[in-house]
Amino acid sequence: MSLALEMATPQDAIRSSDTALVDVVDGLLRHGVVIRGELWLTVADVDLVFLGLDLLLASPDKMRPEGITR
Amino acid sequence: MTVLGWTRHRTNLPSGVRSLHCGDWTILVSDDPSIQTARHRLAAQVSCFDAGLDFLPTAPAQNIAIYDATSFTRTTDLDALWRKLSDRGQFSVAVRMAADQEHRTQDGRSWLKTRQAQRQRQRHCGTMLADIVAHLKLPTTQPRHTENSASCDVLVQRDDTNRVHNAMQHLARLMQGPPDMRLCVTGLWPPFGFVDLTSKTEAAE
Repeated sequence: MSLALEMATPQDAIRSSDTALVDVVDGLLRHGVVIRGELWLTVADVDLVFLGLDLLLASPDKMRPEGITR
Repeated sequence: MTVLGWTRHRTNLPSGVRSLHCGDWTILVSDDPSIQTARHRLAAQVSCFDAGLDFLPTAPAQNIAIYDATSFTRTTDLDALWRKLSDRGQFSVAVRMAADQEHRTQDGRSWLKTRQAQRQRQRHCGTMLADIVAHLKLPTTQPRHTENSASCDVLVQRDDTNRVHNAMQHLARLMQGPPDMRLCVTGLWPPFGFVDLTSKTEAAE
């Protein structure tokens, strides 16, 4: 099945409360590198242990919600 | 005073924006007191960009002091960045799938199964996104992943916008995916994802 295509302008995205567009704006506001890892320990097709790791690498300035003010 | 970015232009600035000259560079600033948050800064930068102004935007999340903006013109290779990014903007491209309806699970095993299904969807979105941007043959940022989406930024020349729009429409028709998968494109934004500003002084420390 073909993909549905949704296009929006930056002005639409900034004003929108649609989750997808809010995510886009948040993505532009946040700068950093996210490393995400998952480890599954499985025996005889039975999932026994799950380990999840989310690690955010960013400068302290970028970690602050509103950035730095000096 | 809010610093919005740097430009080579000294004329035709949008209303509400003024320029501070610093050597060959012009620092764009706004004195609008309503610009208080990162989202306000983003909106102001988008207005400048939509008005046709070519500039290197500051990261919206950072409220850069004028001293630092001036310092950047001396300690950062803005010229190289300008050659790379002038007359260009970015499209934010995302492949999304509907969130899993069985997210509220009753026990650990079903939670694990749900988590595995999420991981599968995430991989599927990432693969589809990689295929789409590969067709465009344009510079892109590293992909970003959430539970139900994969996204990246694509650098586009301003006068190439319509061609890329058409290419996206063509690719959406061409690509085959599950019924709940969609391609979301927003833009044209200032090229935030491609501005990597590190001063030589900071880099040497």
